[in-house]
Amino acid sequence: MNDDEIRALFEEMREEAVPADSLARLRMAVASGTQPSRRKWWWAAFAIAAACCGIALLAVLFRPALPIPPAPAPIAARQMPPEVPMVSPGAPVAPVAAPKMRRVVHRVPVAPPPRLPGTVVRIETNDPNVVILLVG
Amino acid sequence: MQPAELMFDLPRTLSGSFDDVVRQRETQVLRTAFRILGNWADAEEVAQEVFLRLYRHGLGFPTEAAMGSWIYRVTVNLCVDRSRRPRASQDVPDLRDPRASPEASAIREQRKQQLMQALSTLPVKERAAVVLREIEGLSTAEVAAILGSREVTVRSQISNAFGRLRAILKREDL
Repeated sequence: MNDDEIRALFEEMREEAVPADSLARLRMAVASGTQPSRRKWWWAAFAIAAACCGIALLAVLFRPALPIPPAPAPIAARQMPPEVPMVSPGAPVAPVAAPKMRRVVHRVPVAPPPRLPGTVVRIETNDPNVVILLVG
Repeated sequence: MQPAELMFDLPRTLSGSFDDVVRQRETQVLRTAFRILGNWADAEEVAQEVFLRLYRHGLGFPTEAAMGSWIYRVTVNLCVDRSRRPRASQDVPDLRDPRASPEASAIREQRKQQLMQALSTLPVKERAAVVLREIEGLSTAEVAAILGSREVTVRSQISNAFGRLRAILKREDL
């Protein structure tokens, strides 16, 4: 094969068609890579997602401290009800008879009023500071 | 004005939308990438990247020719970068195995495939020069402007490439 034959073959190749499926794939790839609306929506969605993540992170980091509840009273100081002894179920316990207590009456001797030597007549006047006593 | 900008005399569509430019250039970019890489999957990825870069760059080219030159330059640079990576698959069949192209009854088609197989063995810079000059039909000045080299270098690369292609095809014929 000489140079002229090679050149003739190359010229025939110039007229050869490109496979239709290759062209279709190329058009789709170029269209998907250069469609501005899709790219904008994709970036917008990405920006919104990133903003949400950032806000959540900040909320976790700068969460306000909760008020500290007062410390509970010590257990020993609490008013606890008296413990009731556990009684195992069994035979009924007979009631214990309380001992009878005698009432003790303390008699205090009452001294008789002192006797005055004679009869005393007490006369009260209108003036409360003036009392007339008649002894005799 | 660059020599390459004198060419690519397509009707001016700079006022058109980006989609119009894609429709107008997609076949050219995809075919060029495939001829350099020998792989449709890689060619699609390169073409996609070319148009995404064009989208980011904008359509503010002074002339249609300037845009065409820019697109070719980006395509070739991306193909050179990609050709340095190991390729997962090769769409060009290995003609040393006769079972690889059983349906290639026409001798002409078989010759084309042999030529593409031989082209894929060239260094990527030589391959790009041959594809742009011989398949895309650009002038030597345009190819030099796109590859960022001198016209003498391009002529030398193409001459070397043809010598290697002849040798490979002669070996295949034997």
